[in-house]
Order: sequence, then C-alpha cells, then structure tokens
Amino acid sequence: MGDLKVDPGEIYKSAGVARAIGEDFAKPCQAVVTASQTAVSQLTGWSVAARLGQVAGGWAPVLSGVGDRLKKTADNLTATAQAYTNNEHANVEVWHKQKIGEAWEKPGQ
Amino acid sequence: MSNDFELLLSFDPTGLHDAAKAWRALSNGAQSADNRHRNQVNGPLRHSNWEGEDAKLAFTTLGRTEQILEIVHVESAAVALTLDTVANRISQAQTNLKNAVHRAEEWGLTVGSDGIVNLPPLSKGEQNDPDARSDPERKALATLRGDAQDRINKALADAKEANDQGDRALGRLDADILTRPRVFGSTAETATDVKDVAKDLGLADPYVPDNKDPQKSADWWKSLTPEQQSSYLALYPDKVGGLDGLPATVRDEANRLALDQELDGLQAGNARGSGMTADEYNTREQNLMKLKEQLDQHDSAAEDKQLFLLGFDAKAYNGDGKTVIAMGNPDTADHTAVLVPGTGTTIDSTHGNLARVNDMQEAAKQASKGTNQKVSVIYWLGYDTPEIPVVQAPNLSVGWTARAEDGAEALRQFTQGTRVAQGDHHSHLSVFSHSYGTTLVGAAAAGGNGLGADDIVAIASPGMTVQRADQLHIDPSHFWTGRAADDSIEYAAGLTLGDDPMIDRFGGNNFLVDTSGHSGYWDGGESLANQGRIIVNAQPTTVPKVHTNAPSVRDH
Repeated sequence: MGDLKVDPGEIYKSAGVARAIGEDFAKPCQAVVTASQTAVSQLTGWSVAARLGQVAGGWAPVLSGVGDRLKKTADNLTATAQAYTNNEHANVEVWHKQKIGEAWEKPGQ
Repeated sequence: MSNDFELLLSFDPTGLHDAAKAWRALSNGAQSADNRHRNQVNGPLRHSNWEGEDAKLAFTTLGRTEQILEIVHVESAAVALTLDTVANRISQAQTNLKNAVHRAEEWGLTVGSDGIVNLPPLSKGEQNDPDARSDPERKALATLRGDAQDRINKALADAKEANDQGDRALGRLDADILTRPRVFGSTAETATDVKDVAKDLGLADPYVPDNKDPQKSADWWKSLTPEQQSSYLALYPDKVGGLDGLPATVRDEANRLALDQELDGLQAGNARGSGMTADEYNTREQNLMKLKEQLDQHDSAAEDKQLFLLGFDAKAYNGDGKTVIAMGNPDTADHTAVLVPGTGTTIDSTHGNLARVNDMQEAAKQASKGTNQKVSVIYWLGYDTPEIPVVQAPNLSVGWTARAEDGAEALRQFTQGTRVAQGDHHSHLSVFSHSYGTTLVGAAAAGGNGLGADDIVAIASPGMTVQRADQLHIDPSHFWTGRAADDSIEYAAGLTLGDDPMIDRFGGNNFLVDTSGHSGYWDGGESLANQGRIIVNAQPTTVPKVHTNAPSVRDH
C-alpha cells in the first residue's frame, strides 16, 4: 500500500458531479431509443429502419450501463469519502479517549 | 423492400430525421459528459493528492468512463450522419419518382400501383383497327412510356441503393464496439468506423479549408450550423483541429479526440506493417502518451492554467513531431505570448517547455498584479528544429537558415490565425523565441507581411536572418533581445544566421538578463521578470546595446 493522502471533501464533490452527469446523460440515452423505435414503426418495409431498430436495441442496455457506471462511481466515491471521514473521526476518538500523559501524571488526568 | 413503388411514394423522412437529431443530441451529451467528468470529477481528484490502492482503482475506472463517453460521442454522431444521409437521399428519390409519375400522367400515360407505366387503353374501335397500334402518335407515346418507366425505375433503384447503403453503414455502428472485451483499440476503431461509414454511404471527403488562409477557415466554420459543427468535431477531428483561425476551444476539443484515437490505435497495434521500426513505433506511442499525460494533469486546472491543444502531429519531421499548446485561452486573453523553442526540441520536450510557459505566465501575472488581466502563453513547436550536432554530427542544419525559412510561413499563419480567432478582441500579442527559434522568428517576421505581433523578443539569439530590427515588420522600439553573460551562443551570433541582435547597429532594445547559461532564462530573476513585463506591455529593465565595429554578416 502506498502513501494514504486524501481530502474527503474533494471526493464528496466529485461524487456529486458524477451523479449529476449520470442523471443528465440518461435523458439523451432514453430519447435515442424512443426516437429510433418511432422511426422503425413508421418505416415498415425499409431494411435501414429495421437495422436502426437492431442498433438502437443493442445500444439501449449499453447506454443504460454507462448511466449505472456513473451512479456506481458516485456511490463508491461517496463511500470512500465517508470511510476516510469515519476513519479520521475514529482515530481522533482514540487519541481523545486514551490521553497519554507524562510519567509523573496520575492516570486519567 | 416489398412493393417498392408504393413504399417509396409513401416514404416519410420525418422519423429518420428525428432519430438522427436524437442520436446527434446523444453525441453532444456524451461529449459534454466527458468534459464535465474530466474537469469536475477526475481532474479535481488528481489534484487532490489522493493516493493509495483505492485511488489507483478509482482512477482506472474514471479513465475508462471517459473512454466510453468518447466512443459514444463518435459512434452516435456517425449514426446521425447515416440517418440524415439516407433520409435525404430517399426523399430525393421520392421527389424524382413523383415527378416521373406526374410527367407520365401529363403525357396521357397511366402508372399502376406496381410502378409500371402503361399506354392508355385502345378504344373499342381502335382495338379492331390493325393500323391503330402502328399509329405514329401511339408509337411516340410508347417511346415516352419507356422514358417515364426508366425515370421511375431509376428513382426506385436510387432509393434502394440509399436504403442498402444505410443498412450496411448502421451495421458497423452497433454496440459491439463496447461490449467486446479488450483493453485497447475501441477508441481507434471509432475513427475507422467513420471512414468506413463514409465509404459505405459513398460520401466524398468532407470539405475542409486548405488551412492556408485563417480568415477563410474562420468564415467557413462560422457558416456551419451548430449541428454541422458538432458533426465535424466528432467525425473529422484530425481535419478540424489544425485549422488556424478557428476558436481555441474548438481546436482543443478536436485535437484531444484525434490524439486519443491515434494513441489508442498505437497501443492496440504493433510496428509490423506500420512502416515504422519497432523503436520508431515505441517512440511515437511514448510521445503521444506523454502529451496526453500533460493534458490530463491540467484537467480541472484554474482557468488561466487550462491547456488548449491547438495542434499536434506525432508523425511530422520524421517522428520528432509538432505540437502547439496554449496555457490559458488565447481568444479571450488580454495578453497573448507565443514561445518558439530552439535547437533539439521535439514533441518529447513538451513537459519542459510547458514549465517555461507556466513561468512566463506567472511572471506576466506578477508584472500586471492588481489589474486582473488574463494572460495566455502558447508553446509553438510548429517547425522542424535543427538536431543538436553533438548528437547527429553530420547534421549541421543549426548553422544555416533553411529550417527557419521552411517554418516561417507556418508561424506567420499561426499568429494571423490567433488574431482571426480573437476577432474584435485585440489581445496584446508578443512573440518570444529562444536560440534557433529566434532565427525562425526572424525569418517569419521579415517575410510576407510579418507576424502582426505587438512585440518581438529574441532570447539567446544566434541571428535572425536579418541585419536590423526594422527589417522585422515591427517598430524597433518593440523589439527586445537578451543574452546571459556566460551564454556561449555569443560565439555563434553574427556568423551564418544573421547579425547579432545584441549589437547597436541591429537596433531595438536589450533587456537585462541576470541568469546563467543558455537555458537559464526561465530560472527567475530579472531574466524572467523582464519577459513577464514585455508580455503585459510594461517596460522591462533595459541595458545598453553592445557596441561593435565588426562588419555585418552580410558584408563577410
């Protein structure tokens, strides 16, 4: 494991943007599938329309996967930032709970 | 197609055009998502010093997401192009078909629902008249019938061809490009797909200006609709990215995509069959990787530190490559400086030269502190720099002006293009050069109508192909030169590349240099501070010109 240096705040921020990108990107993805299906239904008998239907059908789950990818990225970044924050809090707690005094001090002082 | 005739008559292109619009919106959406991801997700994390195993895994994932978005960007633009092309062609065929039917009916012919053209039926009396069929008028009508049938058949054939071409082209653009498991090659495949689709559709090479007149290029770009512009950016990035006169943001977007496509192709392939030796192949791949790393490192940077890739060509000059990168947007800057490097500079030297560009920009900001003025500094490696003779002993091109003369026009065009892209916003433009770069700047400024710069700066110059500053198409009071006391370039100055710009006879101003050696001008001190002052049109610290009685190089 290399050096651990991290700013949880920055990770939270990136997570938020990743989530927003995923949500925004979902709109044109859905529109492409809908518009392609409409064209297919309007152009029965044209093989190019049938091919468009196949292509759009193939891309639909892939585009949906891109959206999921961005959402999972946001989830992972949020979890990572939370873990770093929790870890830091836990470490601070350790130092608060178990104060280390000088040798002449009584325990608990 | 079943009953092609009726199918074509009832064809409605709206669905295909609407679908094309949606695919184009997807392409733009992917491009926008990619940009935001690079600058607001990945970039800030890279700058946040996040390290460790988790960071490595995260950055790999984030990089792959950007690659996926780039692929969607190009593939969906190609689908949109295909659908629009097919819709337009079938519509044209439909118009031709309707015209042919209309004409046939005008001639008194009838057209069946199967598209067959018929002569008008003979009347009962004519049916029993053996001469009626050989009547000259009816014979002429039969000829017209053949003509009308040919037109109808042609329209049907054109529609079928357009349909088949579109079918074939769309077949290339399925989602397999992302679902096939592989590490490299998908991004490069997008460029191949675009070429193949254009071939399938029988499209001629898209018109792109010849890049000899920046104003012409800019006018062409402005004449395109936003849809056409986004198509050009996605489908022909290598043709658009190098056009002087286009906005920096446009060139940057195009060049980054072209860079990713070329690099991915190299990473997916090998030297065999490439026309390169294994070493050449690896060098090119490494050079492009380093260039991409430089760009990635500046993602999410503050506005004035953002990099704009204005041009690159890893193949140029036998693989030495060329690259033009701006730090800060030159189209909107108050002050724009161009740095032309010298001997031995290749695409591999980008990192070091960007550090100089950064130093110059910081010095300029310091010199204009409190004014909030924006400064862009451009690294321009757009010529074949001479090799260092020590490395390539037989190559002594550093001693002659040929490389400078060869690259002069490109620099003139670049500075002109910078002005054109700025439009009404007239930035203070200074052209800096170092070592042999000053020879090139001299040749460029002296030729044609000059560089159109407000200031010209020659650092450590061995000569600028001219005898005097007033031969550089600039008021000599705006010519600046400097040389370190211990810079051995002094011994080459005034020999074969033109007169020494430091001497009094040359004219212009000498600025104070207090750093050491041939490459120390960006180390700081007054050497760098004076560059910053010149960039922002402030007065640098000057020193007297060097007095000499030596004859001009032209008099030798």
